Amino acid sequence: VIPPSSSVRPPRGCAVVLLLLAFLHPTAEVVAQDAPGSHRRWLLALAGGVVLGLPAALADPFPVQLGSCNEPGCVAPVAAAVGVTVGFLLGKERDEAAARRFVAGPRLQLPREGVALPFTPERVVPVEGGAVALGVSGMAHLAWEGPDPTVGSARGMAAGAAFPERGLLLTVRPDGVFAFSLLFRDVRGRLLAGSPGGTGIAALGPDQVAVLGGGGIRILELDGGLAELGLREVGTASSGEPPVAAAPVAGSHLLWVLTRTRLAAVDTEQFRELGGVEIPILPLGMDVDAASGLGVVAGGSQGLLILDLTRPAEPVVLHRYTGVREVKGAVVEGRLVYVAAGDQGFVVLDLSDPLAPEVVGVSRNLGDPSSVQRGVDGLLVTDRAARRLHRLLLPLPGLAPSGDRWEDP
Amino acid sequence: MRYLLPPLLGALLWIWGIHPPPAAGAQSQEARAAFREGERLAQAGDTTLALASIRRAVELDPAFAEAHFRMGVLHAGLSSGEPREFRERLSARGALERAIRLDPENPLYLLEFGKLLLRQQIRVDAQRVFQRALDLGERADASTQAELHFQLGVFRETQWLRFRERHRFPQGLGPLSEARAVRDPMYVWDVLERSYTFDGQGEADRESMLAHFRAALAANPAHAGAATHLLAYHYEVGALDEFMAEAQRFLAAAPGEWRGYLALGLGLHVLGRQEEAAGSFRYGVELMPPEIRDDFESVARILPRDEAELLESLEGEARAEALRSFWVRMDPLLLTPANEYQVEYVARMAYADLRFGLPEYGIPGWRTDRGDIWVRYGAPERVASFSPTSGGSWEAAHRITTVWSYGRRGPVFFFNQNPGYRQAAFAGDFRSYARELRSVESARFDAPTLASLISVPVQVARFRSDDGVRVEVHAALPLDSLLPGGGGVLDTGVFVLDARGRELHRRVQQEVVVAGSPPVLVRSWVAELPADTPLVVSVEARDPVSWVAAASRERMGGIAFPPGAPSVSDLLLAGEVELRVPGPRRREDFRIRPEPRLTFIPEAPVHLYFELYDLLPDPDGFASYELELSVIVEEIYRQGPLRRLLGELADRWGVSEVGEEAVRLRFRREERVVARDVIPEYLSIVLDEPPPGRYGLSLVIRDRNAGVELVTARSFQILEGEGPAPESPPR
Repeated sequence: VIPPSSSVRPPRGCAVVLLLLAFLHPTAEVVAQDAPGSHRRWLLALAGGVVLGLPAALADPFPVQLGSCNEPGCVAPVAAAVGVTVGFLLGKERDEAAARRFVAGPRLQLPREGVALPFTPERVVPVEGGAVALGVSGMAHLAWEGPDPTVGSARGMAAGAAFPERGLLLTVRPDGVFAFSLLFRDVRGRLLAGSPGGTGIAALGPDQVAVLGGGGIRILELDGGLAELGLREVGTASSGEPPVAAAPVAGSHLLWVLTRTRLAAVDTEQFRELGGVEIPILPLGMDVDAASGLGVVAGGSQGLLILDLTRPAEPVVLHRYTGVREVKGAVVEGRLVYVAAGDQGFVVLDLSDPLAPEVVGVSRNLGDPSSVQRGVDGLLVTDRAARRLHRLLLPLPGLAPSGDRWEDP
Repeated sequence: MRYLLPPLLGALLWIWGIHPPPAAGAQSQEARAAFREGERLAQAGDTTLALASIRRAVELDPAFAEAHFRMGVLHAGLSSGEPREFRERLSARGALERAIRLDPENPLYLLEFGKLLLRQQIRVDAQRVFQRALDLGERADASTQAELHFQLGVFRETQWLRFRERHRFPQGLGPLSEARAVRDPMYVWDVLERSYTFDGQGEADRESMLAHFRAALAANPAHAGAATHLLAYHYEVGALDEFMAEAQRFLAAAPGEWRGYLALGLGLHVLGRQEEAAGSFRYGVELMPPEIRDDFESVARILPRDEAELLESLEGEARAEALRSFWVRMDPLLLTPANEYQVEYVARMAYADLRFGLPEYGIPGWRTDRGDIWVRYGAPERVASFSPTSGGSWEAAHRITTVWSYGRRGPVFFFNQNPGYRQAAFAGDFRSYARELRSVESARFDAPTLASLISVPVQVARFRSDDGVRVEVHAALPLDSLLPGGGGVLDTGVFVLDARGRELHRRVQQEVVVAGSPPVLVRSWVAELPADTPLVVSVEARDPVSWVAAASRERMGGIAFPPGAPSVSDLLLAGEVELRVPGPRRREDFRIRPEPRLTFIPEAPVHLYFELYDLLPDPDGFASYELELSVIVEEIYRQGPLRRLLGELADRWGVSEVGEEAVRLRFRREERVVARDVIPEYLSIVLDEPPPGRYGLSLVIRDRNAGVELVTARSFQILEGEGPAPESPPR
């Protein structure tokens, strides 16, 4: 015969288990730094205890003798303990999920101006009054103030560059360069005969373009109007390995060329390298702010690289920031860096001290931003998963362009 | 006294150091020699002798930890994942445990012990052992650290994968019935649509997984396991930029690693860079060990079972030729340098290996159940996994069920998996379901660069030529679908292959199409080809900007025009046939506007052109022959479901016009054939109020002098509103 006192053992045991769970399984390190609070586990534990314990306490004794614990006085604490344990575990999962979603920094509620696309946008080319989205399975010309996007059938475009003075858009694929008229929102385009194929393209001025290919960079001059447009090669610059991205500096002959291991400054007039620096992460893309001389390199899950590019002959890596889990794309503007951080949201960093960037705002209403880039009057943010393109006008509401602290409006 | 103790102890240690006990030293040296010999033998590949030698080292010096370790590793290498082959695993385990007992803080020993536990499916202990080894990190070299991080990363990955697609049934729905799912794919689709998921499931595991894989690659940038698992992650979450960057980084670190090239090819394929993808795949396949390459290249897995058996029975050159021929036949566009479906196939194989491969058990991904389905049908439209239930069939109980649905019409596959394990196998009857489906639809292909593949109406007619057969190909390229925006440049081509896929003729060119062109562009080609050869004629067009393509593939048996024996060419149906000269003697004496679509409007004349060869002349030099032409209504096109139903009933009861002769003509001709052996013939027929439909035209020629009967036939259709195709000169 088991003495009645044994009926209180299970709740005690459960309490011990609970305490052990709470103290021996702390939230993951990455979460613990910025955890917004761990109240869900306790609330759900309480709810679980009440939901299971209360009915058991109010129920009649079990008519069938199943064991030593048949009385409500025994069943209720057991049920409550089970409810508390289950609730606690569920709540702990919720807490951790909330903590992961939470990046240090205040929430930024951005006005969304998004356009749905019928294909997955891989690249966006900003054009006057809109943008051209490029994807493996299509392209679309969007106007912010105007009709619905003009969806074209051109496919597989790896990158594009706009030449507003010529009303022209050039896109590139490994099999050549394609020309589109911006004036007529042309989305059919044509292959420029004899043009080099590539994986990237950058406008160097109204008449010059750089095509990034496997062997390096080809500088080409545009010749003629759209109907009879031709490209004439004026020089090449070898980057040693396939370039990942290039960022021209407006008003100069300077082109920053990013490869898998290096960032180099190239003089596009003399076709020679001015200087370079090793990149310690796998780069996905880059951006340069000519005014501040700051550059950023997006490194996916390896973080964000902040560089001092004031002296092209001696670029310097200032800091590798890993506070954002996935840096899919980044734009630097003044002292602010705008980061497309995937499911973490859209993150704004303050680089007042480039060695210690601070998160000044995180927006979660843009879906899963997969890229961000400078637009004509703001930023263009894509969401691959949701096939959307968002425009954000600068300065962002509540955030001074200088990078002053964001204030809760 | 206490001041004297340290010097005394030091002196003792010094004496011990320079004069070790002689017996132990001799035994250790002998043991070491035996161990070295064992190592040499193991490197030479003689595991049995190596084990004997190392065993002797252990007998000589039972405290020789390294020898125990090596013995354990060799035994582990001899063991397999088969449950029945446990002896080697037990020996390995005993030896490794002894090694760890002697040197408990050696991360390498712990790593191998953990791997052995994994092979024994003792996963929890294995994970603990790996973690312990990692905690002793300072003694681990970079390679060991990389492997430890990789193994721990795989544990976290297993957890992440377990929760990533975890769905829950709404109240009152579920669990899914496997029996019903086999019969009714729509049921599964609807349940999946109503099931729901929670955000953020398994995220902590994902973070930990990524951290471990990154750490493994930091320690050893060429670690294939960590790189491929990381690549699989990037691929699945759609981080293509990162995927490509990681693939290129991995290849730079491990340029001889075939998996890296397959991964790079996979990324290029998704980006629509087919030629580069094909090149990367080709290089990766070349780098594969021969036994893996043979298995990888075999397309038996995407063939119906009987064809697969036939292919598997071939060896050497015959097998290579069969594979080559298969892929040529499968190539949807001969116009493009890459074979889109072959690239897609290899991309699927590459992904299957990245995600479902179990290298620790020597199982490539494409050999697993999920890999097999992935390779045959591609990515499912919906994936959901459901937590273990206590009910259901015995093999589903307490196991995770993963559902792959390929759309409302199916197919649907269920897989079962033990929690915490990476292997998944077909659930319930789904193995036999997959087998049955294979006989109906052995594979399903599409490709990112095949935006759409429109059909091209084509008429192919074969005539006799000096050296063989002159093949005329007339095609109506649908410009309105190919270049919907108006003008542009179009790549066009005609290809003629023999039955084995060898190219006999190729003509590729670019057409500049101006805006405002008619919706159909008629193009004609002529090719001289060998006689009596079965042919495959492919006409293709593609917009290089949009990748919209059109193609037609006509398969025809061989035709021969034996000298001295009567024969007849194919019938060429035309919208117009006119004589250029009186008394025509050859094809060039006619102006013919062929009808590539083989479609005519009602009551418009159907013109026929054909040639008769080597009819036997009588003593006066005249060939005498009888022509019998009949047109039969094969099918009537009816609009609307009711009309179709009534029409079908009428067809079956024989009260409709289907099967009736619309025209029957019979007439006799005599032609002087001295100094020529070709008689060009042309006819025009006008059907009396023919209903829209498909018609069969048959022509019987009886050579009265030779007593030979020749037959040729062609189908055409009558449609309202189908204007004549414009004329185009042959090329």
